[in-house]
Amino acid sequence: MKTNISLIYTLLLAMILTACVKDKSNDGFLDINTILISDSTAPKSLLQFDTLKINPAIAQLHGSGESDLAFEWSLHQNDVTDPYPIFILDSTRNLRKNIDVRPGIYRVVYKVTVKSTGVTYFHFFPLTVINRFSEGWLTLEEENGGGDLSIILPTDTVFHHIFSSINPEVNISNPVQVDVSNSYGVKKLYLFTKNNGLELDYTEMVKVSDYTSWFWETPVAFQPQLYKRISDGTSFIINNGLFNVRVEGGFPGDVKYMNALPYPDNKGDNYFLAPLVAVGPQPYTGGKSPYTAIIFDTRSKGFVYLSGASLVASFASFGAPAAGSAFDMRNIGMDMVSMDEGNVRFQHNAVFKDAGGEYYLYQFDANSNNASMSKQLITDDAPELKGAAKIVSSKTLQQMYFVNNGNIYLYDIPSGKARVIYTLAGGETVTYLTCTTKSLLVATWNGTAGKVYNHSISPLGDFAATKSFTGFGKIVSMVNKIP
Amino acid sequence: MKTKLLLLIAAVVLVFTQACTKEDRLMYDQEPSVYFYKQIVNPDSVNYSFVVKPDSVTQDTIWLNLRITGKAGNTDRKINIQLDDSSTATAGKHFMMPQAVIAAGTYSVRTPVIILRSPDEKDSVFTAYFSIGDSPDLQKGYSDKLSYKISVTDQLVKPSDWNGITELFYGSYSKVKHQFMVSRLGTTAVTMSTGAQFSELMSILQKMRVDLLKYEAINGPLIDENGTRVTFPVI
Repeated sequence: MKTNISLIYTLLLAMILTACVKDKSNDGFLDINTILISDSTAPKSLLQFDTLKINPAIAQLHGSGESDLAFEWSLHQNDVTDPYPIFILDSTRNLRKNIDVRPGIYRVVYKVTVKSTGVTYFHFFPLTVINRFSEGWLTLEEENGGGDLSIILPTDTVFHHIFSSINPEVNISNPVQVDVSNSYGVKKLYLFTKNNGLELDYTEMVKVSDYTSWFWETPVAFQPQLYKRISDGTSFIINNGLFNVRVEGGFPGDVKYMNALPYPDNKGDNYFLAPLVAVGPQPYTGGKSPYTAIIFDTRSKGFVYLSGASLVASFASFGAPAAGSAFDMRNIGMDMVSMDEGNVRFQHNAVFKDAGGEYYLYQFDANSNNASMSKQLITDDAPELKGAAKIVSSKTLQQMYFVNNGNIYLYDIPSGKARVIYTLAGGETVTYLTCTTKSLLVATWNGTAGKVYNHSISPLGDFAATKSFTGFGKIVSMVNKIP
Repeated sequence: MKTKLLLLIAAVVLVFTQACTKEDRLMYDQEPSVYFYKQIVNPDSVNYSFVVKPDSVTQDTIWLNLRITGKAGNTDRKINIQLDDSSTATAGKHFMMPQAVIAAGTYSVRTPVIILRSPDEKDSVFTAYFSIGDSPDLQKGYSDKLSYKISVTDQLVKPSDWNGITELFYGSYSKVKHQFMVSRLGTTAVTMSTGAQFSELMSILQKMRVDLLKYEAINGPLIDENGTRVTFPVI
């Protein structure tokens, strides 16, 4: 017992003696180089695909050399939850980087690490990436065996390959049409190819869906020729010659494209429509006629209309022509070459070709119950029209523009005369032509590259000025995208 | 102490001597039997309707899954599947069933029952109650897996909401019109109460107008049970 007590005393004595030894464990600590990051150069918002430039100021407690500092710039998206995307931008002192992320709300994180101590400092910059492509002319092109979109901004800046950069996994070979739609304020963007249809997010242009989810009964063969929205509630696709319409508004449940409408006069699906449409007044907008859309059947070689008077969209036949009518809408008897709205709303210029190759201009008014207006042979006084395939109408004058033999012609309807107003560059052919109230847009292809010419139109219909844009593929369709 | 030690040695010796006794193998020695093999995907009954089939379909096949207990045989073995007296379906008229056989060397079979589209199915449901009986080759198997019921019909019931907007779309109801629609669409969901959506009614109308024209081009007008020509409205 006595031995044990002695042992305890010895241990206590040893502890007391060692407890007061000076602690020297922090002798190796380095003095912290405190860093203060400040900035007045970072923008709060940036257009998508623009270069983000930030030159922050760095103040250090010890010295001003930055060789001991490591940098990292990253972009964190704040308006999504799962997944939470982080994009590493660069490892430079200052940032100068093209921002190609989707539009949204982000935070730029600037990370500065003192290499010798491993201490890291952060600075945060809020950043809103704004849709670069909210407005401009979208062009749909064949390119490298596939397809792509470009956009010509109102500033005349052109961005190419925007579809493939946003949707790298989606192939749009054999493109047919690009179009936008607005249904009760909801804007949509559509692409059509030889055997597919895609809906893209209007803002981000990301693929949303394809045609297989658009129909109550998916067509056995999907070969879209024309998509068109004619009102808030009505849009249609001419697919393989047949007319599939989608009607929405005011009723419950999902809305999809219907099965093909039957042709009047008990023809069922025995028809094949031309991929052109004349749009008339809509039934709920105070229109005068029942002709919400007028379409041409290539088999019966006559017009039919989409009735605006019915609850369910239906085709209906035009009535027999009234006395003194210029022609019978039901029986044109020729092949359609072109159809476009003219200089008066709802009045259309349709050009037909007879068996001998002569061209006739039929004018009709979709806003009049007695639609037919005039009919005239136009290749007698304007033989330049013979063989022309691309013909569009002026929106301001009784004129038409057409392309033939490397020239752009202006055809004056009242006088029946045509004249050359522009000569294409050698080797160029026109792949797409459209006319607005201000300009004629001409897309060309020279065998290797595509160009767009924007010819502004003078008050007399001539070209006042021309802008050209390069770097395209073979353009097959264009549409003006509005914000 | 010496006695305890001796007893312990004796016990150990006993354990060692018993440990090496040859065990008799347990062998299955029951008579071979057969039963309907039922799972969630292989239920014990089928209700079949020709209504959703095109007119060209006059028969279809339902497969019965059977399994045996015991060993596979060296020869084909016949299964005795009987039609119970309570059945309303008639062999040769509403169904046909070839002799079911468990092939040599196998433990199961998928045997067909061919159901037939008979005119009297348009207004009635016919039921066949099958049960397994003993046969010279195979006995009845598990008692709760010996029966199978097949009901076959070709009739429709008027949807409760075939009025108002539905009647505006499709016109007046008739059983023949209803039958025509279902056979072309492959579904009985033709009105909102039966599963179609409003926009879909418009689509169905377009399809019916086209399909009726095609039908009439081959067969002439379609006349309903009231002697009226079937039509779909243009609205």
